[in-house]
Amino acid sequence: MRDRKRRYGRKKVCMFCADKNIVIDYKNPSILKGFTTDRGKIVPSRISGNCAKHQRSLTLAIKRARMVALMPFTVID
Amino acid sequence: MTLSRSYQDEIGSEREYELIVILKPDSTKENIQVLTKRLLEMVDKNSGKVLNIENWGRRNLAYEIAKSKKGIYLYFRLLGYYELIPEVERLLRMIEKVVRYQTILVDENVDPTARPDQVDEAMLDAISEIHTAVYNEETDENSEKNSDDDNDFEDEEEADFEEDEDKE
Repeated sequence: MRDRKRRYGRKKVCMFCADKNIVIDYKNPSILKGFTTDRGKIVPSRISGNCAKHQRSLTLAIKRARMVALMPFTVID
Repeated sequence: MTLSRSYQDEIGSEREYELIVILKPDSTKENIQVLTKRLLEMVDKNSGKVLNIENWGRRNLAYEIAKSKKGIYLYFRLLGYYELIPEVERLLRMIEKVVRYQTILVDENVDPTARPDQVDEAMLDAISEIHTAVYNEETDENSEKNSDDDNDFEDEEEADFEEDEDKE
């Protein structure tokens, strides 16, 4: 079982650690949108590969952007 | 008022805040002028400073607020002690055209002399002009770029679920 699990996927790298120039800012929802699902949910770091530090600031930024209606809470078809 | 009001703050330092105000889409130029004037007075009274004002124009909201899908965004950068914020927010609640506001602490322990005051008459004139959504086009472009990443996540998510099933 363990062996099979290891075969899955390559190692994910935190996008914000890889590129230090990207600033996580709630006023710039275009970056944040890449880390939400089509439904508007925040993508967990286990899937996006973000490190804990950047995931924390990312969720905070997304929640702030939601409050000022720059990003949706939910997307209903 | 050089006294520091909180144990967190260094003596002689102030805090920098970001304030976003959303107005009803039918707000006029005068509404904005009145709002900024009253806000400037309020900040002045509390010995704070307005560092910058921006008008982001009439933009589409991500969801409906006050039965409207559009809103006019105003962005302020303030410098002052923490007592300033409840006063400003009380003022905003009293103005009918304001549908939403959000204040965010950007920086603590800022030396007030290090941040120049950039607001003048010309700027106040400029921000009361209401433009219609220049920003939205920009974000659309970027979201297309990011859509590939999105798909990546979805695939991997499915892979994870498959694993879980196998375990059982």
